[in-house]
Amino acid sequence: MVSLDGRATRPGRNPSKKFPDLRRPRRSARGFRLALAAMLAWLTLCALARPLLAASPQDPLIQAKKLFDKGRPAEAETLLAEILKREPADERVWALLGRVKIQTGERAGALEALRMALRLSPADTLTRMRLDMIADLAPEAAASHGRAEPAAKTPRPPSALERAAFEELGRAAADPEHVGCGATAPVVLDPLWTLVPDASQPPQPGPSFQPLQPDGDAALELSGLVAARLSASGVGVVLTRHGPYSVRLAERAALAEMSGGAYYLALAVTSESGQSDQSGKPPSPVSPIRVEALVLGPAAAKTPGAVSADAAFASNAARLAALAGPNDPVGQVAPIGPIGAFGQFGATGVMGGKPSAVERLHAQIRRAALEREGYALAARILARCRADGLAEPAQEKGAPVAGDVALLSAIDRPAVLLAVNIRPGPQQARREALEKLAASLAKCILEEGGRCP
Amino acid sequence: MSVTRLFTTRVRVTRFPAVLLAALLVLVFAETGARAGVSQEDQLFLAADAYYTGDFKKAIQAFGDVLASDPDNLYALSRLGASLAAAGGPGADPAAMEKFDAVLAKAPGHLFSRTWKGLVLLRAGDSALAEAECGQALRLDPDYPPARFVLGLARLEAGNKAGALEQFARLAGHDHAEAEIHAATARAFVRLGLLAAANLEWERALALRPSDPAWASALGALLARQGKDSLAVTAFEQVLAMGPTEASSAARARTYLATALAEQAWKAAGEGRARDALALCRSVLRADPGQAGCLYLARRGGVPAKPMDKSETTQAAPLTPPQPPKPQSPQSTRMTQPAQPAQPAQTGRTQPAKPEAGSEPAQSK
Repeated sequence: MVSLDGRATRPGRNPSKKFPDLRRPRRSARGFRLALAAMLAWLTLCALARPLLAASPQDPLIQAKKLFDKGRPAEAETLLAEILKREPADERVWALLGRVKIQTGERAGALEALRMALRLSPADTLTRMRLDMIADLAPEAAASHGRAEPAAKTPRPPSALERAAFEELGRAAADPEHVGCGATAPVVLDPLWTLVPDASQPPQPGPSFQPLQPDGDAALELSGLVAARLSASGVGVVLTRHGPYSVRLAERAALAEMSGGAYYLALAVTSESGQSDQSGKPPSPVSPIRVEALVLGPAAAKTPGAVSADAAFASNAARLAALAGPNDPVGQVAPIGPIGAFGQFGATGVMGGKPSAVERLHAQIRRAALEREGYALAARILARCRADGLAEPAQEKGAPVAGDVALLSAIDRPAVLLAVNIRPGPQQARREALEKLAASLAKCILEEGGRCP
Repeated sequence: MSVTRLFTTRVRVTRFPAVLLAALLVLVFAETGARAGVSQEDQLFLAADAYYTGDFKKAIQAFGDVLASDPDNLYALSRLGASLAAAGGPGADPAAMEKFDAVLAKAPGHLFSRTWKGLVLLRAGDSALAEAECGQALRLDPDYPPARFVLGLARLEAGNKAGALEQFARLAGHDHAEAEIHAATARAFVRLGLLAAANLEWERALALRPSDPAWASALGALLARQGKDSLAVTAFEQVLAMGPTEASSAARARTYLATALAEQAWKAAGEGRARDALALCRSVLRADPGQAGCLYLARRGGVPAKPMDKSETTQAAPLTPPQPPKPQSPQSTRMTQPAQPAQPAQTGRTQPAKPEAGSEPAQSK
């Protein structure tokens, strides 16, 4: 058929009728409904028949369960052993065998069976709970029961991984005090690409930042000079960046962890326009490092960027006082006030995911140890830099200016931040000053490298 | 004819069998659900599930419910203590210790409570008391891995490396079935710099719980640290292939994978293999589009810098670092490479991006 406007239409259909007649369902719709009804009927039958099928007396596992429920564990155990010969990877059989062994008082056997079940099905909460309930208690009950524990398994030959691990552990046992020490561990140098809020920009909803180093990427330059000296002395170095770009903390933490660096030293460079002193001499292009100590703790870690540095600092001052003993050199380092947005350093945790209870407590213990180690490292670097005339005593100028040592508790290494102020000036003088500074810093780091963390 | 009338008529005539069947289904499943109910066993199961999946606040509530009807349930009481300690907060430790003491008063041989007492004491800084508790647990059962681990940790915290190593080595020599203790021991070995032993413990932990993204990610980091770069990359890729992993774990694996590959890209760039560097950077940026090093490298076509190009730099002179000594190990090979940094170009093209959350902080100047 051809309609008035020339379009082809199906024969028998009235083109003027825009809507289908809802009163009489079409044949295809009726077929669909019948199919749907059949499917629902099938599902209902399946749901009703499932318990009957599952409880088939032919299933030996069901028979074993019935025997167990009737208080005939010995027979159940025999049947389960037969099933396991055919189906050794059926976690349900192992789980039931574990329950049978619990009933018969065979602690070791129950533990073994339940562990096997859990190995086959690691997410089985019920099996894990039953396993823990037995493992929680000392084996005295099993001994008093008078049943023989299963004989120990024949030891299998160690794998290549095990051999390597045992050899390493053997070497460590021979000289335990030097485990984890040595100058071979690389140093992670983190030249910070320092940004500051841009005061020249009009107020905006988001923060506006500008680089703080208009006179070149001095942090990278300084890091390169230090790295070259360390490399020449046989100490490996990892740089967290190779060019003038900003690296996220997560990346830096990943690099620090993957490189296995003994220490993590962040080098921050600020640039102030220096004033001439009273004698009228122009200021030195590189100011002495101002070394202070600051630890950012849980308060900063919980709300990165949002917590006020004052609050973070206040919580850490007390923490530091607790960490530092009366004769600890740490105690001689007076913590300074807040430093900008260092709270961001708490953004990365040592572990990802949802740690278990044991892991969570272990991580907290580790974090406390890291803070102690990092703080002691900061104190030693401070002492050495002061001995070299590189660091100014904090008390001389009162309020903190450029130059701090901060501990970066987010990274799973003892981590220290050194900051130095570099003033704009003639390139040659600036270069010489940087060389001198790098030589002193490298010396400090090299002296540090030989000691055990 | 109104729409309502149309609808009701159709339901009456054509949908009756379907409605009947649906009602029957509802009845069948409702009956099944009612049969299940929420028994005390189910409550305990829910509490245990919350505890094992790291939801400690929920676990505290659920174990509390269990104990309200069964105050002598030692499992619930001890796990309530552990959940309190793990959740933290003011007064958590004394409350946890109270639970552990209550369990030990009823069952002095409760190894879990004794060990956890030690762990909480250790966190509070009392390694001597922690050692005593764990020693007591090990006298009751020398094959209880958690107590041995906490004893080792207590000795490590006390500065007794030899004693700690003895305990950790005994743990490594015993292929036990406590996945979490394998993982924790692996972390302790990493801390001590015993990487082969750590590798073994991570493998054992993952054999028991193969789909833990945080552990697989940690193994990847360890493999990278051992210089096994391709294995490390595989490990991180496996984490990302684990399906709907937790966002933090996936992000972590992504960052690690990108960082590991970016290191290889920079190595290639340093050796003048610009094409390889670019190819690697493409993989990096697929995994982590914000990887700063590769973005920088890609903008320059795989050539990191032109130190001699005066038009691109305002620096006084290029760096001429002394030649590093020959690397002695695979690790030092990786490490010495970045020791010759590229001189940064200070042009308008190299202005840094706006800092994201977590980028380096501003100085308070």
